[in-house]
Amino acid sequence: MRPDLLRVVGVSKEYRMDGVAFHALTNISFAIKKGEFVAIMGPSGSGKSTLMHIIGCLDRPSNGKAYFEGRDVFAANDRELASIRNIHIGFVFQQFNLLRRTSAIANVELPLVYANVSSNERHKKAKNILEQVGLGDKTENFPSQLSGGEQQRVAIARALVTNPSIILADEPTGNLDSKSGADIIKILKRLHEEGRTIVLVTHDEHVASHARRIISIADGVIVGDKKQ
Amino acid sequence: MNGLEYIKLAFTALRTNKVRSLLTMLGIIIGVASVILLVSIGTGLQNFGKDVNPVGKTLPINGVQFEISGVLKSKGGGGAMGSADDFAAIPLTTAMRQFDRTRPYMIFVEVIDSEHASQAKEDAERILAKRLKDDEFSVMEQTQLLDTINQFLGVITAALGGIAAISLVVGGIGIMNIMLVSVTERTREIGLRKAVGAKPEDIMMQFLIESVFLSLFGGGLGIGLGALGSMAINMFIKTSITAWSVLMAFGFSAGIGIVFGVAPAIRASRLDPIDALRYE
Repeated sequence: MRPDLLRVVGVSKEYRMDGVAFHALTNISFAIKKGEFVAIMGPSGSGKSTLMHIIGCLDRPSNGKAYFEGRDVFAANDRELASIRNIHIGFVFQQFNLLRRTSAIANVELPLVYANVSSNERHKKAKNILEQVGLGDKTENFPSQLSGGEQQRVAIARALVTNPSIILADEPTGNLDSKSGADIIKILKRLHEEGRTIVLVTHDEHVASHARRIISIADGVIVGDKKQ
Repeated sequence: MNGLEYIKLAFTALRTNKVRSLLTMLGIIIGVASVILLVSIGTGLQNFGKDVNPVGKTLPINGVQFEISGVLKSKGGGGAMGSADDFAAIPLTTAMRQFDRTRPYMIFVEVIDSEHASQAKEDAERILAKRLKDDEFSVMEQTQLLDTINQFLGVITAALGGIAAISLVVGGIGIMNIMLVSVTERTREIGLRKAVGAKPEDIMMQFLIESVFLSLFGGGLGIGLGALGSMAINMFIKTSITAWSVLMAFGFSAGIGIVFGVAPAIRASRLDPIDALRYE
């Protein structure tokens, strides 16, 4: 049996707004193995984005722990968390979050800049990855010169370039037309077939149906976890 | 990351946002240049004529060359007869010969102090009246205006210094604004950089280098522009660039640029990456 890549144990997150506590997540526990394609599904406000931020080491839980390859993630300080994000996690956001006025290839190179990779090596890797997502001829284009689908493919390339342990995609098709959305799903499925671990966060049942396992979440608690 | 990588990162960001970089520098350039220029005009006015030693040189009067044997102490003043400094003294006999006169046509009388001026005028009139007819002479009293020009120049210098100080403050506020705005505007960028693995110090270093470069380079250009402007005005009136104005203007502007570039960057580097990413 393969070891757990990620294990979340009793994670809770509460926010205080005007002195009133709001429980975004309550006592969440699950594990993800290497090579899984998991969808975290729930309606908006269910806490799924908060959960993704915690899995992605972008946010700390109020309670509970997360182990990444057996390592207690939140025992680390902010510098170490940045390093974990850099090496192990590739993010794909709904808003693409590409740097404007910065070429596709420079956007893809960005995580490698913070990984101390030499600029020649960065360029080679980024170009190679952009070719894999079908943008080999648009490496010098700015985000404004690319369609939404193409921008999201640049973002996927950026997530892949460090060869991370896990890809976290937060509503990656949310800002795309159905055709471009289907292309993105196709790329994610191909990456899964290549053995990558993918966590897809979505409210859309149809999008989630492409994953091999769906963790359903509502009001901050897990209400279902089934394989398909 | 090493220093060279940080510098590359900062310069890439500066190049990527050319308009913002130029606008930021513009505030510093104008602030520094205006201070240097205005102070150089003020200093030039104060030093007017002081740096020339005319003794031994020749001066033509009515086509005849006279050698300058000395310069009288400046009196200042003005009024009906023009400035009291505005004359050349030559030997009386020479003057009568050269200008074909049989007697002097103007006599200057120096009075001990201004209180005795009217007394002296009456005395002069009385003495002259004994020898000349009433319509052959007139006696005019010139109010003592010692140091008037210097006072006037002092006022001008103070006014120019005031304008320079105001432009420095205005320039400083401009620098401060654009630095604060550009960091705020880039909150999402900071969030993204952190999400893909930038450590707090990576963000800090990038912004530090960006603002130090903009401030120093802008300050340097400001000195150049101020010097050029000062040279241009020197063709019309004397200007003189002073080291303290250059240092003060440069130090003040660059200091403000760096402080207000880095302070928001420190804040930004500590931001939660998700809060920064969500920032609109």
